Formats: sequence, structure tokens, C-alpha cells
Amino acid sequence: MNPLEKLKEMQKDAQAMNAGLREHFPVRVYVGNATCENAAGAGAVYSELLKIKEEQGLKELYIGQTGCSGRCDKEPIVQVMMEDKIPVKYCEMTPEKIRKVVEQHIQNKKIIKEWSL
Amino acid sequence: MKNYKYAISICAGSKCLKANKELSTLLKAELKLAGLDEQVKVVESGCLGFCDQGPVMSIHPDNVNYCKVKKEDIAEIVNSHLKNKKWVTRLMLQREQIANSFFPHFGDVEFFGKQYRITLRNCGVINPELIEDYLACRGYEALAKVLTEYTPQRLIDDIKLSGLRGRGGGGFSTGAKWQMAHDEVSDVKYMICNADEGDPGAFMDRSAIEGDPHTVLEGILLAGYAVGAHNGIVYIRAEYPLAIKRLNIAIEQAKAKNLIGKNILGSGFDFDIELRLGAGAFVCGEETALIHSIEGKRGMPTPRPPFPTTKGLFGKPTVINNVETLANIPVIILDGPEHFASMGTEKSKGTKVFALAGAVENTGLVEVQMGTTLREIIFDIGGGIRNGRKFKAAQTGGPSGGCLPEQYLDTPIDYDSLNAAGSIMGSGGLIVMDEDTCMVDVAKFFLDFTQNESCGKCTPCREGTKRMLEILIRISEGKGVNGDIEKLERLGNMIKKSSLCGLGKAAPNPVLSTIKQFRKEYEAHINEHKCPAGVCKDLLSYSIIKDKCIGCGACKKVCPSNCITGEKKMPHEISNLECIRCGQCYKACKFAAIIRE
Repeated sequence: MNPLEKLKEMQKDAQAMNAGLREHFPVRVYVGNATCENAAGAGAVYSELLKIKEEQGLKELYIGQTGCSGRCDKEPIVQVMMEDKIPVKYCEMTPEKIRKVVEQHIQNKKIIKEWSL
Repeated sequence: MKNYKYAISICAGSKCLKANKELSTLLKAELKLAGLDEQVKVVESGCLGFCDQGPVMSIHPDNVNYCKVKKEDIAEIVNSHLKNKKWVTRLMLQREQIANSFFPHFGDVEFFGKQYRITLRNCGVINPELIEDYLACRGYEALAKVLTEYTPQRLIDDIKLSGLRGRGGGGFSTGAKWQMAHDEVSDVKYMICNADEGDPGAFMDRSAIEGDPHTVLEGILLAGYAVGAHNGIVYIRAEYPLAIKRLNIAIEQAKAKNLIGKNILGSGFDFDIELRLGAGAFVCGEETALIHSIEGKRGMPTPRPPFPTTKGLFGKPTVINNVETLANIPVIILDGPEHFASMGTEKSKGTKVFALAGAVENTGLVEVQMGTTLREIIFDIGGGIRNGRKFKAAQTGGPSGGCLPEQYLDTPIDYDSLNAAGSIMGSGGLIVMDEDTCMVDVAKFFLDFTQNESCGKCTPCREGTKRMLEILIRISEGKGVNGDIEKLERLGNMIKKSSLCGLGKAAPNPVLSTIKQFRKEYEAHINEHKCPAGVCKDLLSYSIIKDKCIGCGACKKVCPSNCITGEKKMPHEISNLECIRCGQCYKACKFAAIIRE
């Protein structure tokens, strides 16, 4: 196998892994995690999410992290992805707000428009 | 949940809504006809961002975007793509292209619509601590492709063809730099990534590394292959702990997958990458100073030639490229140098990342094609000036750059147009100032920074900037004298001419460009002892207009030095003797009864 073929294999594995993740977790939430995000309080939002997941036993919920998407004045930004739904980005999140997002958006399937980007 | 095979999203943004209603009805009918309605879900999405290409229809999971879809096309899309898995190439938008693959994830059109993301394509999309996320976005494919099919010379030729220029500020042709190092004969060569981002207010490199460290590593590997180096070093400031952590994780993960190390992917190419932490001296962003810093010596520049490509780190040929430059490389290979060269202006190709800061509504990191105007960046992407104020100037290039007033708003931005306007591209800091900004104060701020950061090797830079700063302080205190402006100009031009490195050569720029564009403001400070923007404290005085004051006491409450007196519901008064000119009362007064002069 030449390097390109080897890499294509790796990419396939990675894509399969991502697809598996999507299948396993129909609801995925990504919290920004960069110096700017953390300064804006993304860390507290992330740990609150972990707490909510644990408390409510939300097995289908995946909590991930991404880098900075560039909207510095709107941070912390949380992205909610649900299968077959448009991804929604919530901005200026706080631990209290994220609780509401989980309740409204993820559990009741209602997007909180005024908090979205 | 039904098990759909495909999801088709049709943009239902306000602009395309009407046309798309018809399309989606037609599509649903056509799907039924083809017996696919159980397998395909039609979703109405928010605006996808390419409005000029609308109506846009995206088909998932293939991630194919069809643009300018007409009613007649629907049947073809259904039959060819969905039924026979043959994509309708004539309608396809950027299928193979990885640049700008960013948009489908975001709906924030106002901010992202005018951007074109190459180096930041994965930032905010992937998990930077997972190599699999990067691999899934065609990560390291450029490296594998080059190791399989390219000679180093072909890689260099491609980069030359793309027209990529160094994004650190100098704008030197990357391909030419690689060629110079490639042509040197030496057993050891070094490839250095310059992540010593030092401009106040700039955070492009930090965000790029934090959001997508593997792109930078892939760029370093490719550059190393091109010039024949086997050692890569990332010189990064210790003030970026998260970026350092991410890089270390990324290096470990890439090593585990044999993407860094010995015999990469079985190609016989060895390359190792390590980090060197800088203490954060501004001068160490300069190539030769950076090299000395890595060598363990004091970070001071030395004369060029010999250029680092001939005699660099430990006396060996060395290429130093900026983070952003390197992050462009994988995209150039995968999308082709022609595609890269098709963007931008005649002499500046591709895109540029700017750290948009200051008095704009949307601050943040933006990546736009070269040739975008300041107006588009500030008013379209940035959302205009905060609080409805008026635009005064844009500062580009950080402490080495200059200020551009209103008449430059429509100048297409590239290396050369900014130079011609008296500023520089720099590494990408873009600070927007409104009418409340005093230009003397701005010049003072930047000069204070460069004066502090001067390494002290060249006397004009060490002593000259100090003297310039003294004059500026004098002017801002109202003690400026006739001839001060000319003195600043003479001194500034002399420092520019007689300094060894870029720091000194550019240090007077903020002063010289503000004098050029806003000479009247300097004159007002010196001749009339007034600061038109109301910033320089020593030149201000606050007083209350008796007729307008209703005696509400709001000013009295906020005054930290208790210098406002007056009975309730009676006009108040400010004692100028005790006033510290903080401006709190001015902001607190709701009746415009306080004037600032």
C-alpha cells in the first residue's frame, strides 16, 4: 500500500467512527473550548452539561468540544445537533441558560430563538 | 424514527423562501413518483450562506450542494442522484473543494456569509483534540498525496503557482522561500513554524492552533518535505498554554498514527516536530531573533544576508513560516493551486484572517478573500460601528501598521494596497476606531508598546522611540510646542531608515500615519490645547450648563472625587480644582447638561 492508500484507510476508519458516534448519539452538543471561550465562561457551561447528563441520565446525549468559530463577542457558544434537524448555535451561554436549552430544545424539541445566533 | 437514506435540505432563508416553496413541493411530488418518499427526508434549512448561488439544495450524507436549482432540474436530481447514485455534476457546487466547507454547519449569514474560510475551515467545527475528526475532513490527505505522487520540486512549483505569500506580515513569496532552502546543499535543514504572535489585539494564530492544530502540523510536514528538512520546530509563546497543550496532543496522536516520525506512512520520509516555548518578546517574531532565541541565545536580530534559508538555525538552512501560511498549504494541494490563485487580487492570492476588534458590533475572527474592502469587513461582517457612532479610522498591522481613515474604506485590501495607503497588512490585527478615539492617544499607545519591546541593539530604535514617546506624552498633556510634529516626522523617518529589523523599521508607523491622516488633531492638541475626541485627560475640562441642569444629582452620585456640589433640584456645579476628569458625570447625565471641552 502506498501512503495515500494507507491514509484513505485511516480516513475511512475515522469517518466510520464519526458515523458510529452519530448513530449512537442522536443528540450532540458541542461547547466551544478555546482561550477566548474559556475566558467567557465556557468551562462552567461544559461542566454544567456533564452534570445535567449525569443527573437526568441522558444516555443519548453526546457532549463534545470544538475550537473557536470566530464569534468572540457572542461566546460562550454551544452548538446543538440533532439528527435530521438544522444545527442550532446558542450564544452567550451560562450554566442556567444551558439547563433551559436542554429542557426546551433537547427534551421538548423547541428551539429557543432569542438565544440562538 | 424512520430510517431515511437521504436528507435533502432546501434553503428557506428569507431571500430564497418563495422560489423554494415551489421547489420543495415539486421535489416531494417527484420523490413520490420515483417511490423514494419513504427513504428521503426533505428539510427546510436556514440560509446556507451562498445566497448568490441560490436556490441551494444540499443532499446529505453525500454532502453535495446543488446550486441555482431550477424546476426543470428536480427530476434529474431525483433520478440521477438519488436513484442511480450519479451526481448531477453540472449543478454541483464545490464538491471536491475543502476550502470553505465550513458553511453548511452555520446559519449566521450576516457574519459568515461574506467570509471565505480556508485556514479556519475546521475551527469551531471539529474537536481539536481528536485526530479522527481531522482525518474525517480529509485531514493529512494532502501529505499522503504529496508523499505518494510529488517530488519536492513539484510541491514547490505548486506553491509558487498558487501565489501564496507569507501571512506573518512581510508578504514574501512562500514558494520562493522554499526554493531557496531547497537549493541549499546541507545534511541538516530546519523547518520552523512561527507562532510567536505578538501584536496587541491579535489572536489569529492562537485560534487557528486551538481550533485545528493538525492543519498546522500538516503544513509543517509538507514544508519540510519540500525543502528537505527532517526537523520541525514550532516556536510558540508560553502565554498560549491551551494552544501548546493542543499541539502536544496533536503531535502525540499524529506520531501514534505514523504521520510524524520515522518512515511516514511507509514513504521513507522522516520528520519530527517539537515545540520551543518563547517568553513572549515581541522582537522574537523577527526571523533572526527567533532563531537566536531557539539557539538559547538572547533574542536579538542579526543582519541579513545571510538569510535564514542559507544560514539559519545552528548555521543550517532554515525556513520560517507563519502559522497561517502553513495552514493554507494542505488546501492548496487538495483544491489545486489554480483554485487558490483564482481568489484574491492580482498580486495577493487566497484569503487573509483578521482579528476584528475595537468599536464594531461583531468582534471576532474573520477570514476573507484578499481584495475585500474594509467597508465590507467592518460594516457587513462586523455589523458596523458600535452604539451607532461614526467610523473614524481602522488600524491594521498592529504596532507596526498605520491608521486608515474613511477615504480608504473602499480600497480592496491586499499587501500592496495597504502599503500604498501608508499602513501594512501585518499579521492581521484590525482595530476599528470610532469618533471617540484620539489619534495622538493611539499613536502613544502603540509607541509605548514598541518602545518597551525594542531589544536595544540599534540606537535609533532604542533611543529614538523613547524620545518620540516623550514628545507624544508632552503633546497629550497640552505641553506640546511648535515644531513637535516636524520633529516626530524627522525622528520617525530616521528610525525607519537606520534600524536593523522590522521592529525598528516599523515602530514609527503608527505615529507617522496618524500625523499624515490626522494632522489637524495633533495641531489642535499643540496649538489650542484641546483634544477633539475628548480622550486626553489633561486637556479636558467639565462644566455644567446651569439652564439645562435639573438638579437630579446623578452626576454627584457617580463622582469619585466628590467635586460636584449643589442642592437637590438646583443647578449643580463642578469644582475644576478637584476634578480628576474621569468623565463619569458626563456619561451619567441624562439631560446633556454637562459639557466637555
